[in-house]
Amino acid sequence: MSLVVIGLSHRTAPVDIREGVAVLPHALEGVLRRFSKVVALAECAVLSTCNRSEVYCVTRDIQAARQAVLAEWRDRSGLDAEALGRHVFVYRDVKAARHLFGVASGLDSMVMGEPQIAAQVKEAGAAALSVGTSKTVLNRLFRAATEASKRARTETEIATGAVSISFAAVELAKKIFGDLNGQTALVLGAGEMSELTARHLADNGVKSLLVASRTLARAQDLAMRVGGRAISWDEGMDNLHRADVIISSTSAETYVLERHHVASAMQKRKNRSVFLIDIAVPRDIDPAVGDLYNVFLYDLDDLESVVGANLERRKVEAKKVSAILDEEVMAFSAWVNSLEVVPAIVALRRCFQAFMDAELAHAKLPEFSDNQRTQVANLMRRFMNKVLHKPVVRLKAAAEEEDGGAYVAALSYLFDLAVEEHTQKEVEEVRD
Amino acid sequence: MIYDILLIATGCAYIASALGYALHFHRPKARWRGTSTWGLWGGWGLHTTLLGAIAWSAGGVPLTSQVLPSLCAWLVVVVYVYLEMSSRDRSLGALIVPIVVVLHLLTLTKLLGIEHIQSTGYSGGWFKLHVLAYLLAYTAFAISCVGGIMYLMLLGEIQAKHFGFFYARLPSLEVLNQITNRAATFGFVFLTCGSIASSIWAFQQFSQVSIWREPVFLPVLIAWVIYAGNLAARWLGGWQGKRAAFLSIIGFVLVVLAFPVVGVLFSGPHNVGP
Repeated sequence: MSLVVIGLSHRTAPVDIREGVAVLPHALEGVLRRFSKVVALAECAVLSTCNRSEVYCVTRDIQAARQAVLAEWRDRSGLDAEALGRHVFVYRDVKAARHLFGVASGLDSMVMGEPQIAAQVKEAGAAALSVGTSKTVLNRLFRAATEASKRARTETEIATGAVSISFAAVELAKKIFGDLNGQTALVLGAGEMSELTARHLADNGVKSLLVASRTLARAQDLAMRVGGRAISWDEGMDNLHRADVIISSTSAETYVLERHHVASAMQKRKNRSVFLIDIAVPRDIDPAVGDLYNVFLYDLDDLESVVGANLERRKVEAKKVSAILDEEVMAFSAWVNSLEVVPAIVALRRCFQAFMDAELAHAKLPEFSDNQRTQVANLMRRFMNKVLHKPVVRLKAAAEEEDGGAYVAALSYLFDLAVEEHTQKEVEEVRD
Repeated sequence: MIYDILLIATGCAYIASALGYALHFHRPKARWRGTSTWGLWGGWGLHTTLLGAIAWSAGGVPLTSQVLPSLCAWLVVVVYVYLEMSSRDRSLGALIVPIVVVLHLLTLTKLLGIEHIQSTGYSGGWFKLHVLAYLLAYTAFAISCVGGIMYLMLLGEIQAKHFGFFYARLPSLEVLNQITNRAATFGFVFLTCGSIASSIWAFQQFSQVSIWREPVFLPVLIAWVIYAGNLAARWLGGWQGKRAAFLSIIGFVLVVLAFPVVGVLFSGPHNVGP
């Protein structure tokens, strides 16, 4: 059996292909149920986001699994399977696990380190588990991927620092004021960028959001969209001292906020900090305002350089994440290797169980009551477990070191074991 | 012998904790988090046992210059743990726990090898109260100073528009400003209480308010004036943020320097010099 991922992503396929094969959450269960009927897919899970569609499976026949996945995608997208095939990648075993761990950690995302993918991987694993298409290997794989992603995010800075202008502005506001719940934000102008920033501020719980524009109707329109209160331009200028965060994005050709405006507001605020975000081009706020005490002024260039630096830092952190993923992949790989000996362990237990049953049947024990016979059977089972415990532990340890085959052969020879198919329950019993 | 073992074990635990906090500050990892937390709690437990043992043999905690740094370190740990638990932020530990280590090492030099620690000649509620109030005041001033230093480090990066090491690790400017302000306010209140208690104690002890003529009172007076000015500037002059942080740092440095300077230049029955 091999662990395989068959997928396409933003690195291999254009958006029209990706959107064609994408599986929306409400359709996921149906897709998994269809895959569960494919004999080649012993286990499977589907990870589908706007940037990737990937099917993780455990299979004996990789080619058949690939055909089944392509057929499903062909039916969904109406695209030719051969055309789809050109965009598909297939990784197996360690590479497949390494790929999922990288995806979950955000290394393979369009914006490196983006946090949503970790939750999406977790949800994909949970969906497969609930439908029953994820069993021993995939359960472990998705758990390990979640763990690896958690380590990557806590032990490195792969997910720190905003990577968009509006998020950078909000992050900075939080770094200045801490909790934004008690803060008042004032939006000057009703441009698209100020709307985005205002929306993020509202999402982060600013107490009051005022929108001022030279055209009151535009201010009202924006205020309605972001959950703020529209005020006239003059009212906005009169209320400068009330605002802790000021976002300016007007189309004025000269400065709308000059040093004396802010200096006067700061006097009224008793020098409490104020954060000014100038995202207008040409700029709305006189740069000299930034020299005032406790005034933090950031313009578009400043925020862009913050975003650029964060992206660069994430690239550096990616190397550290890779080292963590190597460790996690090694641990997962050792566990997978240990599965190699599971059939032999099951067969060994069956062999001992058969000896025990035969001896009990032979002895008959006529003078014993049913209860006493059960006690004797339990006693023999406990004895069997004790006898087998150490060999089983050592066999699994040897298998983790990729040395299991020789021991399995020796066991099969010594006990004349017939290594056959085993049930899920038997695997569960010997797995942990 | 038992003191020596407890002193060294406490020191080792605090040093491990300080290293853990520093490493966790540099690169957050679960193992450094564990080392810092368990080191601090373990050290504090051993420290409490040490103070208990001293109190047991001396018939009460001796409030002498030998033991005071140790008491101060013990209080700093208590206040810091409260701060960490209330703010859920561990970054302050990177600067505060080393202060605990320094205070404990100071204790180590004074107590190591000593078989019996003598109690101070003074007793009574007002005496104990004034010592406790001063300890709490200086603990608060130390924390205010640490908060101020961290504020300036973070402010430097935000003003330079270059976010680096401290930006990713320190809490917000507002949180640091609040810690600095509150600690300075608490410190001032305790210092005032300590001064009142010491005056009453001196009156009871010497039948006059002779504490005012004691050289040791000079640094206390300097501290009181510095922090009174500090708080007035904050609350009345609108000196928030950077200026307030500078005031806290300068105030603490002057207070720390004032004790040895006065100790060297002057002498009296209530010597606190080195």
